[in-house]
Amino acid sequence: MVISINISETLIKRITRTKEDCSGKLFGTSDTNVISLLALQSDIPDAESLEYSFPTQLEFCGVFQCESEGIGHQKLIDKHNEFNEKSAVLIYSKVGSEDLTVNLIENGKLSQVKYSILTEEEINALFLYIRVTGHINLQCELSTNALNASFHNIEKTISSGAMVFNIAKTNIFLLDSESENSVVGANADMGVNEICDDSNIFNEEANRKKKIQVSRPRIVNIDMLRQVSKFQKDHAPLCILDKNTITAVNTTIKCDSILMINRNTKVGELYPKLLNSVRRSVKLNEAHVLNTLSEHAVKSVAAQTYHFYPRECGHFLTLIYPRNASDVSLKSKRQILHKQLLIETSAPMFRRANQYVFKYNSDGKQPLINPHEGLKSTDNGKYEYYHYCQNKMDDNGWGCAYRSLQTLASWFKLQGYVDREVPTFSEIQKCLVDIKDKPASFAGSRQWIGSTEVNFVLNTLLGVENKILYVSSGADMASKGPELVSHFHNHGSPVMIGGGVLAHTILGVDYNQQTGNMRFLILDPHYTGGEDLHVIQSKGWCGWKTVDFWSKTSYYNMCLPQVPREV
Amino acid sequence: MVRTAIIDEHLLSYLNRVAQQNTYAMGLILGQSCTGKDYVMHFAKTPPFHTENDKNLNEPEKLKSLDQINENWMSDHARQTTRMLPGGMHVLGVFVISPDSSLNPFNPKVKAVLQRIHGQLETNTYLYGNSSSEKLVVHYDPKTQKCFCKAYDVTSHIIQPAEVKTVAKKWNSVQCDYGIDKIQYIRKFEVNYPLEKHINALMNEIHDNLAQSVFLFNGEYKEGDESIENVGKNDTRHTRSNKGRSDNIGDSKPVIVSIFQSKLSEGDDASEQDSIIETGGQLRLVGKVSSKLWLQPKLSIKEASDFIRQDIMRSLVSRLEMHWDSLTEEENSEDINCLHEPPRRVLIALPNSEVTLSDYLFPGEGPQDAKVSFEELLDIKINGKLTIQDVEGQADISEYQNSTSESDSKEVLTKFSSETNKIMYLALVIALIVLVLALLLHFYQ
Repeated sequence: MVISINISETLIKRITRTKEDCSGKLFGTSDTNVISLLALQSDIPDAESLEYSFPTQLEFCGVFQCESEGIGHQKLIDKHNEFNEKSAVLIYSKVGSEDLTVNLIENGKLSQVKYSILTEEEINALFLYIRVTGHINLQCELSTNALNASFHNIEKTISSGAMVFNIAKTNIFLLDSESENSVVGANADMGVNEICDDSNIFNEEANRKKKIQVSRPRIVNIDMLRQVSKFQKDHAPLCILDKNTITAVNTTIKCDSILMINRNTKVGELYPKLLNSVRRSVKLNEAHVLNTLSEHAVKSVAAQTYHFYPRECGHFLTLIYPRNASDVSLKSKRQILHKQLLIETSAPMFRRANQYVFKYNSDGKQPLINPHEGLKSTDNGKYEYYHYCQNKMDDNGWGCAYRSLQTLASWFKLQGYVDREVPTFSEIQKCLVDIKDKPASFAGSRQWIGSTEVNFVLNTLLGVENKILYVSSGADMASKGPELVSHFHNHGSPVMIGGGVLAHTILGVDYNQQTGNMRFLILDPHYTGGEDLHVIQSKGWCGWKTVDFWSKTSYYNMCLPQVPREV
Repeated sequence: MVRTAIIDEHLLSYLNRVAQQNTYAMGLILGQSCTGKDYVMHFAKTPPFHTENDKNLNEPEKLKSLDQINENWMSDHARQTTRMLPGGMHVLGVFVISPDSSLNPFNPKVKAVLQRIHGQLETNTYLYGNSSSEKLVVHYDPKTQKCFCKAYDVTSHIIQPAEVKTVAKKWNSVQCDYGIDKIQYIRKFEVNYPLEKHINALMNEIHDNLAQSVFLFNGEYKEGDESIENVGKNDTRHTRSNKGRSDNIGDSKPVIVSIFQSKLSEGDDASEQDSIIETGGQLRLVGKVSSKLWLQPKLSIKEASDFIRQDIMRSLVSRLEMHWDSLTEEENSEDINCLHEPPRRVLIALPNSEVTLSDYLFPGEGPQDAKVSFEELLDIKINGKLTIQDVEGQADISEYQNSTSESDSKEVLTKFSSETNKIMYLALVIALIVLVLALLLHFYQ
């Protein structure tokens, strides 16, 4: 039987891009005759394994090696032998070259194989993500022995068939196969995909008049419940009072994990996969609790699970951070993560603010995120669209620069650079009064601001440095092409531009070096309507504009927020 | 809408029998309210109140008028009887037997009794003793051998007319187990609280858990407004793995309920703030509550689910109340490790009916003890040995004694159950016998 191999585009990119020698493990899904390599973990001494952080169903599939001096495959084969798997994929790449050699080793026999590349869109079309959430109590004495015993018991409970799953917003329940009726409310032979269509998981998308094709991972929420009507203890309730004083762990493990399944998986096949997903989450929590135990004077074991979806990886990564640890204190942990995943260390990817936003809770009242999506552009990270008349405030005619400033601030918040909410109008005005830029009467007024003030506020409230660009006429905007291209390439932050009495936000530029032609991706804060993406895009409140967009009779100031290089 | 009391034929003959033996009598109406109708399941005449004078008589004095009724005695009867009722069944009101009408004009004594009963049943929320503040009063006229009915609201004091219908009715049964294994850490400053207070915190938690739980009926999810009689009827729609089980569901087969506990109650987030605590000990509640409910077929799934929750809570607090009552002062606030074994639930079928009620047996007690309380509280004569269904079963205590002593404690685990009390009672009985003998001797000298 011929095994075909698929490799995710991002994985190849990361391996071929690397400038130093490295080696590591490959993770993916393997069906009977298809292996899809989707994740990698580079070997870093003493680093924690990411095995349980990858989506459930991604298993060890092979190894990779990047070398500047070609030593050959023997080293790889030796490396693979450590893992004692029957068949595995070996990827070999010479540092500085674009080429990959992909070998399949089967029962000790090595053979070179062809592979196909999976783009992110293709991965999202092939797979479905399931987010499993649930609670498990953890109550025991604070000691390694007691904790080990407790986690052992939790595993026993998970395996006992006591867990029940409910597909969110449906009356579909999944029980273990021992039950008389293991799928309640649906046909076990139905595809998970079909059920999700029924349950309108993406109802907020359906509200939009126009379906905007954005490749997003498709996510189904499933809650874990616990069967309490089957019980191991076959006797009437007893109360046992134990007055020994102990130091006790008294917490609930919030299981929160991502399961990746093939889109045509049947509902009846889900249960064991869901259990495995819960197990992974418990494992991550177990590692966290046991790690904290080694600390001196443990005060809390409380933790929070975060899911990240770094674009450079193209898959989810689930991490646990201690509740009481600041982003700053976790910096070294993040640095290791970036190295393990072979992603750049120039921008934060795993700060709390970078966590994946599941749209499950969106209520239509929050500002839209990335309304430009679906328009051709490069991805510079998430921002929120602030515009006139939001949160019941009538700033029509004077608030455009404030709104542009808010969009810029949201970008810094959502990228994880600053740990602060987007400043409100009164915070902005108070800031300008505080730094003596404006008289006290400015606070509460309806006076508009310009790019200089935006610069001051970003600098004072967010600690962001800005570069100011000036053009004497809108017609000269194209002359700033190279500088803007360089800004979006190196920094990526949205740019506020003020001219005449108008302020806009520039999200990106398209500059043709040969012809000097230039287009701007504009986000217009003068929009007064509701959060309706269809209107915003079709009426051009967010869209590409030519140089003619800028008035020839006005001069323009641009505020380019500079981004620190760190993780 | 006029309330209607639905009374089974054989229950009328009970009233007739009571009327033949007593000129005046009052008792409890036990049953279930469903869609504006009150389905009477049983009448239980309140046992005679023993006054000081009665002690010298063999037979307690018969009532000579309704005014002789003791409200406290009746409300205590209502409380003890409620403990025996499955969830969804309540003390719906009282029946009165007297030669003159107690409804026209409405007898003030009856009002007083109903108010006292309502107040008594309200004291423990989790007993769910009152289904509404409107109580039923059935007057049985011995001359015409007919029932007359009125409804009296104990809070608004409004008296409404009500109808009586004699119809034989069917009960559907619903059955489930509810497993509990909870640990409550006792904080340092709470160490000297009585055990009851710690347990009450656990009761609140169980109540919240139940409120958040999902119920499946015979393995099916049902919408809240469907009626309970439809369970199992359209099984074929979704479930192919059901293997023709549906045709087995006869009327007499109980519906099996599965309980799934979902999200944690609120406040659990707050406790996360201190995930590590210095404790002054811990309390563990472990075991299962077995429930069997008897429901009117027209009840909705939502009502049935609520009744199941109420049954579990009622059963827990009933046995705990009985347990606390059996403990002495020192035992209740004991400063050592101990194992409490509250009485367990057993089910007993009413004579001439499939409906089962509960009784709670302390370790060492048997059918004979249940028979005594059944005969007294429900005014039933049981011939021969009483059959009990020991649905929960007694725990093997040694399992837990070992588990506790495993932790560092070298202290001896003492067991509190009724056995200590038994000895006390025995001592009392011996003392009484001695007293009687002494008196006899005294008089015969």
